[in-house]
Amino acid sequence: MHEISTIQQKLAALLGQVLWDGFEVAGILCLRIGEKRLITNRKQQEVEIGRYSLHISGVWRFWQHQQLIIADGDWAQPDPAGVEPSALHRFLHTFWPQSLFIRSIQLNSIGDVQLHLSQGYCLELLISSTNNEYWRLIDNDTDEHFIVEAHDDDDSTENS
Amino acid sequence: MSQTNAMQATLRQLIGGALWFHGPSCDLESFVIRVGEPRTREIQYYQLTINCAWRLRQQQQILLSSEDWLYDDDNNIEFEPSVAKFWAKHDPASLIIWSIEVKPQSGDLCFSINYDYKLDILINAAAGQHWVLHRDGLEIWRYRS
Repeated sequence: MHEISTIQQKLAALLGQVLWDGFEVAGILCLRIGEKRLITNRKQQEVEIGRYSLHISGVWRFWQHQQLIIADGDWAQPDPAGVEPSALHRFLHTFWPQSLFIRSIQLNSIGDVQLHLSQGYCLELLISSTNNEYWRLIDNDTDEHFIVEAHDDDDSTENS
Repeated sequence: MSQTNAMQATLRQLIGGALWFHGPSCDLESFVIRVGEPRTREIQYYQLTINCAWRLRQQQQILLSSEDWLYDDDNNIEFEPSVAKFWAKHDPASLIIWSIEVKPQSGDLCFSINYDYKLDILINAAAGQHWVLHRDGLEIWRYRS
């Protein structure tokens, strides 16, 4: 895995930015962060993205005031209302739009990350695998992907 | 007694036991902990069945985790080679549990084991059943939220 200081340095770009959207694709939580811009996607549709995208494949938890409100494992929990396929999908459909400022970022020696947000929210990314990607930070201005994964002793920053 | 204290008291029974086995349990994963009573030499087996994330680490290095398996073509659980490698390297009797910490906010557990290993049980769902502990086949604790 990358050095903690390198991860810290990359994540520092998110300080003071706004997290404003989140959705799930194939088990990956995708977050939109920072200044909004319009792009044309592969389906030739205009969509709004942020300066940064954070794609989380590993274990994550979302807290408010130290209360766990949703986590990656909730994809398997049935929605109490029985409408959406899971509690996680229901949450993602109802929670946004929001404007959550990233106030501070903490990393421990394992590489677990806590993004402390406004309104008492905290997003936690946990290192939880020996062979998979945990998360990646994409700078949509430069198309740089900073990838944190189990075996990324080499330089895992790529430009696609 | 609060739920955390009661859970801690139940888990205390595992201290001094050995992390004896790890493997599939239906479509979940289990750890078996073998606890010997030194005076009577009675042996008890505890089974910790986990329905949440976990990782076994040595300091910062993750050695095994809940994501080290996949379903094979017959829908059976198949573990990554790292799992067999780990168990081939260690005599289970030497993997002694020294302490178990319950994190009050998250409900996460941290088992401290010989060789500076830590087994983290990480609660990764806001609702549902996270783990169950059996002693000699009888359920003694079920952790839900």
